[in-house]
Amino acid sequence: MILKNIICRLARSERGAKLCLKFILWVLGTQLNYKARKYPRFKERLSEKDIIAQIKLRDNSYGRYYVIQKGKVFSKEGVNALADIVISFDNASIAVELLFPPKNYLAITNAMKSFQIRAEGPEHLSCWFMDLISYMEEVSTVYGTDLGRGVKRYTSNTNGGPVFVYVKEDKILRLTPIEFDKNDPEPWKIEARGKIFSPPKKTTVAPYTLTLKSMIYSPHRILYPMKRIDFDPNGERNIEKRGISEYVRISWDEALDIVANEIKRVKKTYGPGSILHGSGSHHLWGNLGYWLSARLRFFNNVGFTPVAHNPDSWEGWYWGAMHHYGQSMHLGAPETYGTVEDCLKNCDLVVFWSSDPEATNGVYGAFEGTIRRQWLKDLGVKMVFIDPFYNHTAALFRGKWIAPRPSTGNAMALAIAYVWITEGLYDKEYVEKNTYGFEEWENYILGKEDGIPKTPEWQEKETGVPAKDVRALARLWGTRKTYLAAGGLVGFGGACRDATGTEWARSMVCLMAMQGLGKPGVNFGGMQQGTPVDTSFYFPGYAEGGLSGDTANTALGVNLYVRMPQLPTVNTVYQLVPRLRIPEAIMKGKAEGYFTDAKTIEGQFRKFEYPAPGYAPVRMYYKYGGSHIGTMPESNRYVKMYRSENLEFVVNQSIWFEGETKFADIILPACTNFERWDISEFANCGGYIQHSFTQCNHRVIVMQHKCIEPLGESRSDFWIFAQLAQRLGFGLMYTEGISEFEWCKRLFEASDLPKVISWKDFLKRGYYVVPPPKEELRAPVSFRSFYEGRPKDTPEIAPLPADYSEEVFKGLQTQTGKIEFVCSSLKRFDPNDPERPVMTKYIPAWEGHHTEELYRKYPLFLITPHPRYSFHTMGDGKESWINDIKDHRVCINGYYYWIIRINPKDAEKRGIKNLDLVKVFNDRGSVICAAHVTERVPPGVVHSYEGSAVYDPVGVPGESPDRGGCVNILTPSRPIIKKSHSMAVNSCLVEVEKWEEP
Amino acid sequence: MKGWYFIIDAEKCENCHNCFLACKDEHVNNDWTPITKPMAKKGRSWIEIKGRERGQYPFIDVCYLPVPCMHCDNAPCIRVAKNGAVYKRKDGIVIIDPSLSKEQKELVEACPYNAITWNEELKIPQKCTFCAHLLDEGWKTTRCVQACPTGALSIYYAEEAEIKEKAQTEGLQNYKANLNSKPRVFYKNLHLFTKNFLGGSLFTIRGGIEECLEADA
Repeated sequence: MILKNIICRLARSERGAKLCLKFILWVLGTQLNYKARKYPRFKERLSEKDIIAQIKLRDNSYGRYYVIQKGKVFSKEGVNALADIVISFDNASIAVELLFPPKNYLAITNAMKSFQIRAEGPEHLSCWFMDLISYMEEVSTVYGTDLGRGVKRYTSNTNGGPVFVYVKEDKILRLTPIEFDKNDPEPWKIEARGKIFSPPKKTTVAPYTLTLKSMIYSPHRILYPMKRIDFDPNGERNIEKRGISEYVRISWDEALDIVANEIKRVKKTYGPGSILHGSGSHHLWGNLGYWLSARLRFFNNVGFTPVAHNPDSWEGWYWGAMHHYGQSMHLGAPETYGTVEDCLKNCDLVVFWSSDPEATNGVYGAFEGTIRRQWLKDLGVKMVFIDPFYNHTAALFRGKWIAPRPSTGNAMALAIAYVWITEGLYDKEYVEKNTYGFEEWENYILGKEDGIPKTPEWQEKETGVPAKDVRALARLWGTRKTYLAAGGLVGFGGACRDATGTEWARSMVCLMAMQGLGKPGVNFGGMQQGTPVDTSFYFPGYAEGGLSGDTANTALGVNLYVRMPQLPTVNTVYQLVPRLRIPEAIMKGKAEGYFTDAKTIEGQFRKFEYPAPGYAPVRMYYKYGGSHIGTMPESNRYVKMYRSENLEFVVNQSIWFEGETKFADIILPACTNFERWDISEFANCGGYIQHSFTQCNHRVIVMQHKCIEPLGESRSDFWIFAQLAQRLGFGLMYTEGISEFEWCKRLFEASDLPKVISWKDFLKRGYYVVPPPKEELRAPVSFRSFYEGRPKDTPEIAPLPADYSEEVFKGLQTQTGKIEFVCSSLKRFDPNDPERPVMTKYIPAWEGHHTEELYRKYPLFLITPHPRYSFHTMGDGKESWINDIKDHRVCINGYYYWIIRINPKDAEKRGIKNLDLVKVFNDRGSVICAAHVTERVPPGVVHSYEGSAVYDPVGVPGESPDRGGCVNILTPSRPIIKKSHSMAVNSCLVEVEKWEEP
Repeated sequence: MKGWYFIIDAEKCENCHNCFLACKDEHVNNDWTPITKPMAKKGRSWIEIKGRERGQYPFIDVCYLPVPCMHCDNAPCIRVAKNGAVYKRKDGIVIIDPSLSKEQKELVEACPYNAITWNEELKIPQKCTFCAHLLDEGWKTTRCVQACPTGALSIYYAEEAEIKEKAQTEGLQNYKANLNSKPRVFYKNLHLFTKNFLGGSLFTIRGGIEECLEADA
């Protein structure tokens, strides 16, 4: 850096600058040859092309060209008219500043934006040359820990926790959790009730992480680009054969040419908006390769109709709960700072309501929260579990189980409020001071409004839970300091994804308001989030957009953009397709939705329609991965859509041949994150789940080493997009002339890491554990300041300053600044909406025991929560080892069937025995499963996880039973409430009967 | 002589299968001869989790019991094996020699704990090796213990007298102790798996309304 300062000072004069430039360009030539001599891999790269590359000043006053031939470089001063590519600078001092190490990315970005650096010549050659220069550092990098006998230990990160990766001869031997060593900091300690609690010095992993080796080496990996055998982009496309026909291997060049030409063709033929693109909600871990990063940078520069995501795991919290207490920046889920310590010290009871963190790991949190819940148990804190399924958290901690009928949860909540009101078991002072509109809601609860007091007896008819149990629960809760774990992470939960999901989540906030949310020992959480780790140390989460350049659709603009300046990217297509309505958009040409916009409460009131005025209808679908059939409601729709003539071209960029991958015309093989470079942090999402790493016991930041070479001809998403970008004229704009490895270094430098560890050490060790803060500097407890009437003091700019009615930081985000039993925002938006009244009420589900005719025909409630062993579709199918877990799939006659859980009484009525094959069906379709006969579900309820990665229809796709286990074929596509873009998959009536293999 | 023991707490097992998967991760596609050859790609792992539901809705209890090889000191498989194909190491670990055991399918039946699997491709019986290849390299623990998030699984290196005393003071038991095979796997809270479960709630009728006597079951 000092040397660079001297050089740059020297380069202020034109003469000095030219002298420096002369030196730099001469060194570049010798360095290229040196690297080629020393590193065979560099020599190989250098030998790929024979070109003449010119670097010069734009006025031709100085230049040097490099003749690259047969893996050798010959360089000479001067300007060569025969150069294949020319990189030019406006003047010598800019050239010196940009070329002399260490790189100043702000200066480079500024120069690119103001066209002070230019590249001429064929895109693919300029990209190749710049990539070669970027590769000079990567090739000589030493990384990982040498364990002897040819074994190296690398690090990587996954959706289920960071790992050590043991590699020998380019083959992964094993993956293990990360065990810290003596160089890592001591963990935090919490003293509570005479005991000291401190987490072990290691990370945990989720089951699907331990199965990754079988996934990386799966026989279902796509190893080559492929074309549907009867697809001809210049002739017959045979669209009706999608999902049926086989594929042939083609070259990367052919595949990329077809895709690039189709992009050009549909844009030119139909106009902007004709390309639809979407990905699943989750991707393989890593800030740069993530769907919110490399993918957006590409598609923004192409111009596309994005698939708009619904707030899938939050639903009721977003569309409902938010109106009572704000929290829009958390999609309506409560913030949880400091709650682990508060819960350990002060809480007497935890109510887990539709909450199974032992199954879902919060989100990305592995088993970090498990030990903390064990501490609670050791302290004798009582636990109650409300869930139609006797879930895994209940089974481990063995508390009281209460099983309401699905989609009736808020009836029980209202009855609890009734007991509290009539027996005086709530905090009247808090309600008086900190809430708004209680009296009106109280009138409704007591039946003064509609003549129906919401008594425990009243709720019994709805929920099936005995009145005495609800009364007992209400009394227990009303007399003890209680934490409410509503949803596994809090602010999640299957109950928020059913026909009464908005009302359920709303009632959760109202109950907490009655008990004094924020008082010591009274808060949201089940120890899954809110550890006392250091929230001030900066390292971005994936939702901060990585290298996307997109400040509008990611959280890039919040912190990362100013720390990692980059070329901005903008999508010019103001047309969206709601994810839950993709089939209608394609097949009927019409769809509408509401925005998932976390900035403010009112963000969700904005409606959008497809097609947008003046835009072309979608003609091409570029799909990333294959998850929708297993994860979206009524998913035969998605199958049928692929066979619509309106979709002229479908390309799927995927790692595995699964789910909807087989409906594509062209398949581009992507590699896993173990086969490319990336950088990330354990469970750090950022953006809409700000500080989600407080799920972890330690902040662990990970260099995701390139552990092995990509399998077959698979390539990183970044590489695939860069290749397409070259064909579309923005190759260098896409990569900014640097490799994935260099992007990792750039992100490293943008974080706080360089203050505490060198790049070299970080590369070698592979991880850094952020020391916990001193006790005095820990984040305060969420909602404590609100309870005490002080300005908000938790470390987040949420709500945004404009969203405070009075002074910034004073009160909540609601109009009154209080928790609102009667919601100001809903009064403003639509006070007469019968589906979402201004205060929460019990509205019977539109598919449930009140829809009598349907209920007679399909008398079983199917619930489909997030799966336990796989992460949605990740880890399922693909000959993954997870298939051998007998509670995930069951192997019958050599076929791995998905499981449905049924009560013995219901099974007996239908002549079903344990492990019989059954057909689960309703008017929307049918799925073949293996039956688990179990007391863990009450009579009348069947349970099966969403997230099958296998779609395997026994006959015509979209119209025949699925043997793969995509139970979402059965779930309704109707939104929870009309004025939303939401799914209500847990309100689903079915019938089950024995099935014989034909 | 000191040797290895497993101590497994049935109360803490939550059926997450991390042990099962870590064992697969260690052994599928990896050849640790002479300790063991690769595990079959499909099928069960060398640690199995047995589950038991007790009671009826709404009063139930669910318990899980991880069952690896018991590394018995009086091992039926050693007695049945031909050519000394199964042997006990000085540290107590029972090993099936991958070459000597070829075609000895009867070993699968010999184990009363169902801990021995048959590798159809290699025609050899296989089972948990206590990760002997790793311990011999200096590892401090086995893969299953390392991956267990709840502390249900642990290993212990001790003299026989020490483990006996520990079992006595902490109430550790062998599973199927009546078989007298002298297992080296000791369970805590084994009763959750082997005994019956009694659950219910107490209520009375007060003023014509049912009321729970205790707020919790």
